Amino acid sequence: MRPFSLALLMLALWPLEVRAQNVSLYARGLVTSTVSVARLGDLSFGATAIVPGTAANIAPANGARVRVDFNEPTTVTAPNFVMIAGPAGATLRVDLVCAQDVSAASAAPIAFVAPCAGGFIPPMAGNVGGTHYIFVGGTIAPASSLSAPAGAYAGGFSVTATFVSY
Amino acid sequence: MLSLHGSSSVRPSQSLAWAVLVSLACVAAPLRAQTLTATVTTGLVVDLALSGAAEQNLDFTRMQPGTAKVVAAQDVQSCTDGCTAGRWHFQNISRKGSDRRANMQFAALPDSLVGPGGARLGIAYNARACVYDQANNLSLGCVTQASSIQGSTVVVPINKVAGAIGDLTPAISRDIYLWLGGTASPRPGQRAGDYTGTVTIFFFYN
Repeated sequence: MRPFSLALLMLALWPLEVRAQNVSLYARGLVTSTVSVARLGDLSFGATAIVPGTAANIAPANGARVRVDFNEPTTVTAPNFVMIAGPAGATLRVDLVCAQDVSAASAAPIAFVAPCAGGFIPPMAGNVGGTHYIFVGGTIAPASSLSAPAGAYAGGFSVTATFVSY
Repeated sequence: MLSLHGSSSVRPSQSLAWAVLVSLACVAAPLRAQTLTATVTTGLVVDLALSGAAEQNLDFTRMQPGTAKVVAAQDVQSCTDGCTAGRWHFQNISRKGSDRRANMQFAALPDSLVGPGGARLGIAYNARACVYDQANNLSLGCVTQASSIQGSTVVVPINKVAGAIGDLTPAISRDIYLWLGGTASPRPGQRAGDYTGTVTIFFFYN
């Protein structure tokens, strides 16, 4: 075999020498969810009795207050109405009205675009979440109280934060 | 015109060619047959091709917002944090004398990981490279880099230079493991979710 041919053959069979390489991997981390809901104040129609057949109204700014701390997009909801219980098993319907604000002391919180059950998503800016306040007022329609027995009425409802749990 | 790999040859003079011919003619008829045997020893180090692979991702696992999380860049024998450091494995390290240093340069090393909605999570890194005698599962020495940044290089001295690691005779087959650890610093209220980034190592000799 001629030397030139032999050299060609050796070049063909000799493994190509690798002397430099790029190799990649991933860096990863999971930040856990920290979402909390805390009651700051209840919805109260006051000490003055409601006259049956007349409307009663509490504006959100004067109603229940709830603090929401969040670090991810969170939908905050409340029911559209609640039935509160009175004497001898009587019930009274209270329609709820929801609003929100970044300040706990806001005198004019911003009404939810949707009804309370439609929820509100506190905005997130940048890398971190924050704190938002939910205000819940109530209305008792004249028809609801028209035949209501006299006495004290009370009930409860939940303000709920829904989020993806990490 | 310049050539990096120049070659040259010298044509023998005509008188020298004749001299060789005469000499050959004189020994063409041996006095008697004989057999001469000579044992010649030869040595050759054949380097296998460098082979690099990423064997494990750097994983900070779960973090609470506002609480930093540290993952140490350390070898398997001493890991105490679940061994979640990133790990590369480079096999068949050169034994050529001209390859004096194995360099692992961070060609891509993000200073933050990207999460949901483009949120960013700050990261600081450290690295540790160890030379192994793979055949005997023996660590021959390590180089630690306290803080690694984009473009920085972990340098491992090899092959008969000052401080060479695993520089034994006869030369043994060596591997290099590179571990990448770091500190992730989620801010208070840091957005929840999965954060990722890509780290690229460029391995070369000089």
